[in-house]
Amino acid sequence: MSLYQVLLLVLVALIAGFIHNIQLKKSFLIFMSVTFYYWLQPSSSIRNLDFWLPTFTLLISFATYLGMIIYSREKILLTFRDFGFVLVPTLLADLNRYVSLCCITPTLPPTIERVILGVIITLAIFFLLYRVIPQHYDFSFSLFFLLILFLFLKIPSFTLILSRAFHIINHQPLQFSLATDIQWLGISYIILRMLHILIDVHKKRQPIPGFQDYVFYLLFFPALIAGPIDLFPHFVNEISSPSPSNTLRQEGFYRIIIGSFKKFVLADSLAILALSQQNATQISSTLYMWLALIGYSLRIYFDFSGYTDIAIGSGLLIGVRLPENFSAPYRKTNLIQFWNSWHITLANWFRSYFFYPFTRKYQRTKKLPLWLLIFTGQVITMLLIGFWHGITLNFAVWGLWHGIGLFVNNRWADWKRNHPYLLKQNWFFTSLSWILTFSYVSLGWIWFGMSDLHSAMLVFQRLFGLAS
Amino acid sequence: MDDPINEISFYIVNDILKSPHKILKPDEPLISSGILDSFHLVDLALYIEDRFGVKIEDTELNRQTFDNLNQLYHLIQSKTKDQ
Repeated sequence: MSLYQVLLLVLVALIAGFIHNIQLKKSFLIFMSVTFYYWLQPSSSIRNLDFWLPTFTLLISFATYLGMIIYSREKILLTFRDFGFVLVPTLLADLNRYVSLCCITPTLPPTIERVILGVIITLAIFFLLYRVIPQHYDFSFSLFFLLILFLFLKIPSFTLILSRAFHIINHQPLQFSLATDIQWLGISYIILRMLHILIDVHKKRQPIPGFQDYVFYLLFFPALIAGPIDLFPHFVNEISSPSPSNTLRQEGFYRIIIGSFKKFVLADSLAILALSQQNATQISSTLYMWLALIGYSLRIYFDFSGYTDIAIGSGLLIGVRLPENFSAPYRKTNLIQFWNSWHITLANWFRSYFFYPFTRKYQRTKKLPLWLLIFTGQVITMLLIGFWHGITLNFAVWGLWHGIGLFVNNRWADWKRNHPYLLKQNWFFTSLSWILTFSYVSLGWIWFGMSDLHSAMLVFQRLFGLAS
Repeated sequence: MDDPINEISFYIVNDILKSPHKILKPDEPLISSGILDSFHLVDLALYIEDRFGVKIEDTELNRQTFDNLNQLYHLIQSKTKDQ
């Protein structure tokens, strides 16, 4: 995301904050969120993909929503009107092909006939599936569909198949197809938000939301690219609140300035020094490798937390307080605290939908010994968080690294609680704990940042002076 | 419900933290401060469900929903009213 894009997003957020009529504000924000979604979607060598991917997101939103409605046997008349409203920016983005007033999509969008045909075919496929699948399986079907989609986007060899399929459809030469041709903006976050609503509606924790609210929640532009992942009831409550006060606007601007400084000054400067796939093989000095690793740790934090500050700040200008995603993670003195303060909303999502149900079930029945329950709960949760970033060996090792780290931390904390007089808290112990935690997290970033295990191992060897 | 805040506080310091001498203030952060980890929250949820007969959802076990005893008490109260 460039500074120019940030400025435009902030300007729109500021304007939205001055709209006092809540329904009007919502309609304006939905329109702008969908438009921004097209605008921010990166271009691809696959023809028209920058137009089709956001359009597919809208169609998938509609299909999953329809699944919820059919499953609950509720009326759907209103939904088509809402769906039409949500598609207005799509049509406007496409009509730019003919008038060339502005540049909403990075490349020229497809012809209007192709768009209408594409929308009708995709919707027809979903309708057909919903007619074929027994009604009480509609919820499972939506989950299954999202899971398959997720696998196709996260397993590089599957993404390559998808890329080839798009090349064939577009009559483009197959030999140039790459998995990286498919960069679907924000889809990992959008899928988690969809799952949150689908599961909660299925478990009757919340009623089916209106379709506009559903799409609004999925695509709310300040949090579109990299979160934070709000919970739907909280989001709806926030968006229904009156316009922000001047104090809230000041706080919003402050967060945006801090976030931009972190992202565009600190993170971008650290990029020169930080460990990367390119410099990993070139650095031969142990000291320089340690500096590169620390640089990477700081860069990833400033980049991500800077983005989050901008997102939260923009939300505040609108009058929506998004949840915090970071809370000084590198100042923490143990791994448990680190994971309570790093990408908080993502960790909470996986706790809510895997860790807590899993642990609760076995804790109540006492079927597993406690240590085994803690081990499996932590390791599987962290593996899932790793796979959410990408289903590769490196992310698997990164997940395992943290899962095992959290297990050891848990056992150590338990032992300390049972022996309170053996280890007194003092500055030396606190400093040592901090060094250990920061080093463990930083070393873990090697698996995360390198594209394959061989490069990661090479970095480890250089760090500990083992490379020849 | 007679003084549930004291009851929950007693359970946390005795059964979860195993530090009977520790005193928890009603507004003391429990999750964001790291006093309770995710396993403790599961124990706490099971205890509250058994003791107060309310259902604590998995999505509620986070600092957004409650981070201290006061907020937890209000959560239980709102659920008791709904029943």
